[in-house]
Amino acid sequence: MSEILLGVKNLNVSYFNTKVVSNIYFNIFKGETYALVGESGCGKSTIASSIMRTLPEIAHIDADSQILYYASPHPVDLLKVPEYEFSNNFRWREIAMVPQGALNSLNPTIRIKDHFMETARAHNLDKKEALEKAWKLLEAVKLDPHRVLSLYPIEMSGGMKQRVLIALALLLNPKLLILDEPTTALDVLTQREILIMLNELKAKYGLTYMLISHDIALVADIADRVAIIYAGRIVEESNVENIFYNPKHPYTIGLLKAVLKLGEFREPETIPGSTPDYRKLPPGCKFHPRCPFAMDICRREEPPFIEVEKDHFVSCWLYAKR
Amino acid sequence: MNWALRKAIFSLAAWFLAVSISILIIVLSPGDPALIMLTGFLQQGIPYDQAVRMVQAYIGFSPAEPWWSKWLRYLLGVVTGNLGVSITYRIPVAQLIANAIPWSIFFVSYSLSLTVILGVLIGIALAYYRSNTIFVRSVTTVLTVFNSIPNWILAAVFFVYIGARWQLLPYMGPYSNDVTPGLNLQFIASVLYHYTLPTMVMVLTSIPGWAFGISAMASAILKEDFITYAKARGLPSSRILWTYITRNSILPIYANIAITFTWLLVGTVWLESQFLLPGLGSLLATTSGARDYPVMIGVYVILITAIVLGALFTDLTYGFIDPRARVGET
Ligand SMILES: Nc1ncnc2c1ncn2[C@@H]1O[C@H](COP(=O)(O)OP(=O)(O)OP(=O)(O)O)[C@@H](O)[C@H]1O
Ligand code: SF4
Ligand SMILES: [Mg+2]
Repeated sequence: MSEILLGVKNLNVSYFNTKVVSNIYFNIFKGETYALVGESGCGKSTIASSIMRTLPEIAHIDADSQILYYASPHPVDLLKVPEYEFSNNFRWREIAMVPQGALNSLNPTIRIKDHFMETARAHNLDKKEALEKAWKLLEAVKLDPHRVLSLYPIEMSGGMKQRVLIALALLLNPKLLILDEPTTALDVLTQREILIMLNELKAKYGLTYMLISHDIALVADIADRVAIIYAGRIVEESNVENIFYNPKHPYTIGLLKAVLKLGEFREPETIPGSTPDYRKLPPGCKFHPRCPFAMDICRREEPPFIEVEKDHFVSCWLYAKR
Repeated sequence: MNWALRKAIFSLAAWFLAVSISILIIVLSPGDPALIMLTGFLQQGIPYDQAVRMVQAYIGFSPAEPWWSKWLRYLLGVVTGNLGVSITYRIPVAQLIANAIPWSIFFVSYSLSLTVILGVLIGIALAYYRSNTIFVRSVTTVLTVFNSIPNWILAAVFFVYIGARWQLLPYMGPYSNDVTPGLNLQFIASVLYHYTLPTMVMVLTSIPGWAFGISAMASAILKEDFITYAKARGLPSSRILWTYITRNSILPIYANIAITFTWLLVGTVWLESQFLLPGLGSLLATTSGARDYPVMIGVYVILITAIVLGALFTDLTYGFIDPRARVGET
């Protein structure tokens, strides 16, 4: 588990002139599940859309940002390849995604079968072959292909739609699957089933996952490594054990507390303060207005990203030598 | 109760109500043909009793008949399928209508299909090329102008300028005198050519509603998650444009076809008279002047029937066309 599949380097994304994602670095290794965790609006989907190249026109990626994909001997910068090449060689063939908003991601006026066939046609997959593949995948996500293929999206429950989206993502045997909030908007029982299924699929098809979620339980269950994101920046990154049993960053600690207290029938402790406004981010550490440990230097200078123990990185002045 | 059956019964009730009210308005409004004729006879010095008998013989009812009696008589006639005989032409109303109907069906369906097709295309283009402000602004301005002009004014303007003054297009009559009506190419070509100007008026004044409606729908659709997801899967833009944007924009306003149909039908009354075309509209216009009750009532009944059937048809077929409407109704 040391071969890199995807390397994001210095990713900076703005909407209009507001920078939303700043200076993001991370590697995803073959076969692992890498999780991006953070509050709503922290930029998780923006990172995913940068990789899939589906950002809206108003979005802008800085020229020196890189997203390296290690399929062939030499890594390819996905941000630099021409659109047709990306479409032919990478989109859905190498990297596919299960979008956030499962309930709304299927065309309400065409059948499920049409969704599979149009995707196949867009990638020059033979019709018969595509239908067989769709059939197998629907079985793999525990749906009845015969019935589901002829349904319209509105005739399906949220859980069924989510399963269809997962099956659709695997149509062209991708290596990397981006899962954007795969369990939100589903009831607890369905969440559980999807989670088990994701684990099965990963083993069966040799997939690598990039998981986006604020569902801490899901992350704890299936992630290998976790990046905690605050205001478009990675503030802590490590393996899942370190993040849950030995969190370092005050934001990570707050995030975990907010969730874990739920089990004890107490008011969940939320992190005081509100999510930042990207148009007027504070100077220094972006978390300082909400941080109980904020010091002088936190208000002036952005903390460096440092390795506090092996493979455990934190961006916080508490751990930095000044 | 079955949903379709309920719709049908409701439509029947609406039809009956509209027909009774129309007949009521016709018999109540001033200008009773019997009275007019009676006054004429009296002025010629014919004695009153004899004049009344003459009117009775000529028109079929007495000038002394109370309004409610006339109303019931005509209503009964309509319900039993007997539309009577025209006062002015002295031939059965059914025959007059049968001669007029094909022309109006042609005129309205021709205008309706052009309106819907062009309206949808323009609306989709407005939404799809929304970043091109020059295109959007100029098209919107033109549409707004045509949207604010009633079709009978545009008809008069086109008649006078494009027709009479500049002689650019035929502006009188349904076809030229040198063709023989029938299923021959010259006749069909001549009809299409002669209907160009009237159809332009119909279409230009009803396109804006469609274009604006579709463009509003399409703009909303463009923001939907399924559009982003379609792009993420690498679907070609033509597929996204037709199967995703257009399809989803048309279906919710599919029922508007019935409304446009109604407007176009009403429009024939002005336009057919303006351009001297045969049809229900011009039949109604000419017979209204003469207060030819049976013909007026006959045309009204046909128009109301068409409108009610149009609405019922779109209602009933909507479920087949849009899967979203199918859920919840069984
Ligand atoms: N199309 C857009 N135009 C302008 N701003 C946008 C757009 N999309 C996202 N943003 C802004 O970028 C920031 C990050 O959005 P993003 O969708 O990446 O967050 P997220 O972490 O995925 O949140 P969530 O958990 O709610 O999905 C938000 O503050 C959002 O307001
Ligand atoms: S750098 Fe300072 S303000 Fe930021 S998290 Fe660490 S202690 Fe808190
Ligand atoms: Mg998101």
